[in-house]
Amino acid sequence: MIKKLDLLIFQLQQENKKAVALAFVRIAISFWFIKELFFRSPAFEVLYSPNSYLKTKQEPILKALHLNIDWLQSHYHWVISVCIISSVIHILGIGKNVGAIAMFICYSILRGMNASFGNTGDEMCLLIAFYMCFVNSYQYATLFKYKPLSPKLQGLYNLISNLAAYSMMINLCMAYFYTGYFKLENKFWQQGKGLQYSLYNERFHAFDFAKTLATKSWFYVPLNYAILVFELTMPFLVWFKKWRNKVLLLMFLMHCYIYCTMLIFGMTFTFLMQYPLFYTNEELKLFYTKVKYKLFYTKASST
Amino acid sequence: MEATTQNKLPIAYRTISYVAICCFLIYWILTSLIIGLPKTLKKISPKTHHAYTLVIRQNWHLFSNPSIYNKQILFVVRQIKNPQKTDTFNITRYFISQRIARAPFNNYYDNLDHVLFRISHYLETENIATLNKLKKQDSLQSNLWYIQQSSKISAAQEPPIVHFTNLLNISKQVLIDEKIHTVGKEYQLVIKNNYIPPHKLSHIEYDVQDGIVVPCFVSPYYSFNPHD
Repeated sequence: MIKKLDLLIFQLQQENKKAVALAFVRIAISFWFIKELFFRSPAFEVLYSPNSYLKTKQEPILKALHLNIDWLQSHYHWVISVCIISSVIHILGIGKNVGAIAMFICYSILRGMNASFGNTGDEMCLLIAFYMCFVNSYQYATLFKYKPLSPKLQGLYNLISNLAAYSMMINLCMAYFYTGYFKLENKFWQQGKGLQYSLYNERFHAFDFAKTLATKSWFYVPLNYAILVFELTMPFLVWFKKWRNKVLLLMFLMHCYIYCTMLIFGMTFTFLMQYPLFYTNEELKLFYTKVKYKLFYTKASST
Repeated sequence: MEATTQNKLPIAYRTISYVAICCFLIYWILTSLIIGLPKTLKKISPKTHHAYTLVIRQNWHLFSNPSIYNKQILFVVRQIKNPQKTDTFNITRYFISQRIARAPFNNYYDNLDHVLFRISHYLETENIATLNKLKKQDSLQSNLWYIQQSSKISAAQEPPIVHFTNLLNISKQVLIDEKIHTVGKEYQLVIKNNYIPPHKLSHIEYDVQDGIVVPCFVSPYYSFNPHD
């Protein structure tokens, strides 16, 4: 048992197995946070100001950090500025994990200033930011060239980074699995009507065709069960190379369907953002080279 | 061979490696419990549950309980001097249309829609609790009477219920955004559940009006300017 554990630790210490994907996630999540703040900017007064018509209460996270919500709200411009600065620092990879921790704390405080304002996408973003505090995402796409640590320390860093990266992947799988599991417990999903009710729900009506689709049993019944099968099997099949591409493509299509019928963008983006983690560094590098070749060299040769 | 290499590492590095693996395992046991059996963990160890949820929120019930009704938040405005003439603003519909119009950069309206849905749900839950108490005291009235009375009690609470205040404030803001004059007018907040056609209403306790629309919160009328 101990020998097996030692072997596992040894393997995890050898290299940062998800270095390329983590660099992508680091940049994507930081840009996403900035984009969110940018598009929320007209509503800052409503969301965070003490003069807002939305009344808030002191959240436990602020209590734990000994921060007063009234003080934070009266200085909300500063809080938002610090959030943006921490995101930029994180994109550039300055301060490495300290930068990631700073970003996570900043956005946790911001969420605590108005906890009622948030959706699944925001929750998933903060969860990714939490895992980013532990990973080594600084081997690629940073302002300063990455300098490896001493072999022993680098081994430990790789171990913690790999565990956190796998945690991110497991968390995504768990999110899908439990969503499917809870749906399976619901009588409407069991009867093949769960999707029909979702399509009838006005809150998620993106377009009028959703209502039309809700009347077509040939559409919603098979898709209802297909969603259940996808969500329950994806967390297991995605770990097998043979199934990985097919499963991720199907999940991608499912998210496209969610976006097209319900216009839920945050959740769609934050879930899809993590898909590269299921690929190795070599596979992603090869993919990047192929895309680069097709985009630039084919154009150059044709001209 | 590899394990031997691991054995050669100084004891501190080995210990830290083991601690990291232990933390990983503990974290995942806790996370599985938090996601799968949140109430159980809250009962067994409330402090652990509190500490975990303080930092991370994990709730993956995405669309697992499809709503069998469309909640409608209606803001009814009428002239104080001519109460017969009323204008009804469908606040829910307003946010949905804003969300659609501004996609994909609709995060603000998407989130406000969440806020609206959440607070109206809390308000409805609180109202049902009051309604049930009233029913125990006097079981001879009509269901609509109970809804109106319990709404009146909820609306008159001191200090005011935050959800009710927020709901009123959001609705008032919609009027400001739509440039609706409020001088000499009063308002009422109504929450109705509009049941989706395939669903049968056998278990619903309330009066069913217009076939499938069930009111669940009906506030009294308030003046926009209390000095009027």
